[in-house]
Amino acid sequence: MARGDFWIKDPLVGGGPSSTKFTVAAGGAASIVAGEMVYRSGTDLVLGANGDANTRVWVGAAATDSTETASARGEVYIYYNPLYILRGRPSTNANLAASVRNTQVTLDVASGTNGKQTIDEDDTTNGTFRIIDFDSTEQFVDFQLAITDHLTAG
Amino acid sequence: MATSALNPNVVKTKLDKVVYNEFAPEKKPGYASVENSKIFNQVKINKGAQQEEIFASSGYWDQRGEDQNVPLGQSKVGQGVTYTAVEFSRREQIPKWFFDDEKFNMVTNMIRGMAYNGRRTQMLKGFATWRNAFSSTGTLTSDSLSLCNNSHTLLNSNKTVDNYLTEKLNDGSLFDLISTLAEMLTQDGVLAGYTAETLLVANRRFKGACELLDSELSAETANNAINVYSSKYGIFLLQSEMIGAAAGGSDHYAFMLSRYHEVNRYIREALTTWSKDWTQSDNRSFIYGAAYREVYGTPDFAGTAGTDGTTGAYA
Repeated sequence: MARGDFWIKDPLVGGGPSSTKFTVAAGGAASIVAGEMVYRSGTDLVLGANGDANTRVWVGAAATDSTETASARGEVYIYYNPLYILRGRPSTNANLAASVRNTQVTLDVASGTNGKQTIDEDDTTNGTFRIIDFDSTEQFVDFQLAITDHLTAG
Repeated sequence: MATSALNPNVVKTKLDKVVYNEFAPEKKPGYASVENSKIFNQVKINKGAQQEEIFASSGYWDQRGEDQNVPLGQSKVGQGVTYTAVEFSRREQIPKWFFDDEKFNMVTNMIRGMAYNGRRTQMLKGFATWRNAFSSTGTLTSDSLSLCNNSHTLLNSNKTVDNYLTEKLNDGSLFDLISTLAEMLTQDGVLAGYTAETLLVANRRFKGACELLDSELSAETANNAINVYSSKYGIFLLQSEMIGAAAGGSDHYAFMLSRYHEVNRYIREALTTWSKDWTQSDNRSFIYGAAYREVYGTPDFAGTAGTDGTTGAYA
């Protein structure tokens, strides 16, 4: 289950987290669910895929489910601010060690529809998710989007 | 249905007595019934099915620096499951001839027997929850795993919960069951610290379980250590023959429950009886009927641990 894979731990700037509306191309049907990581594809947003890193322009984690249908363009609200510190789960908890802090890593996506998204904590090839902190006991990772890669494909 | 044709000796008073088996009232010590909230939460429902999801809070709190923002938590509700109420019923048709002519209270005892068997049906079906607690095709929780399982997944944590033990119920494994509840994780990975309150065993283990719980000294061991179960824990013991091998389960099964277990009996319609007079029938017959409608469900494994007794020994 991928709903709620990522959430905001700390928006850093004042106030609570806020979301921004983006469009999703027709063709799927509610292809993005709240809590999933998405990237830009042309003028629309697409669900993050396995191994996608800074070859993509990451936008953030979805705040809502997307509303597109097979024939009509839809919309989705995204926690867009790259300053936000996001929290999610590591792909392999045993790899969480001090050495992964401040490394830029990639995203793992399990198979199946809306497969679970996790942070691939030891894959730094073209990584764009910068690990800030982690808790190997409770098994979570805090990270930010690498800002440069967030703006343009690296 | 009972007719004069089927029971000629009764209506012609050829017999001097009809022997009835007396029905056993439920007065066994520690008798477990489906109405007992220690093992089945009683939930009255007003629809044909009950739909539930599991709530998970946001885990342990984070340590915070002086001017750091307070970390945001994310609670979740998910893993929906639907339990559809099922009806069990029976009726008896008694022709007026038979009603008028039989001399041995057969009609009374037929209805009594029907009612008793309805009660036993309710027990048999209800306790299937416990008989099938270790089966992947039986009683499932909302994570699609058996009620007692080695690796329950959690809704808001990467950890898993193991509430499936295998050792036969003895002085050591009984404490393992208590510790399993105490160390059980909630759906967000927090140590729940459930308190063991009720021990449920098959009828054939009742004697041994009584001795384990209530002996002055540690039961079935070679030393004279104090029995912590009688001196420190006030564990309530329940038994049912509907768990044992005679009912299709195992005499080795034992379950420990906390007050906050999620084994539920959803009651749509309590036992209802009706009768129809012969004057309202086309074939001059009385009709006696009874039905109840309910379903059993275990959305969450919380507060429940069990052993199937496939390893170890009792003493």
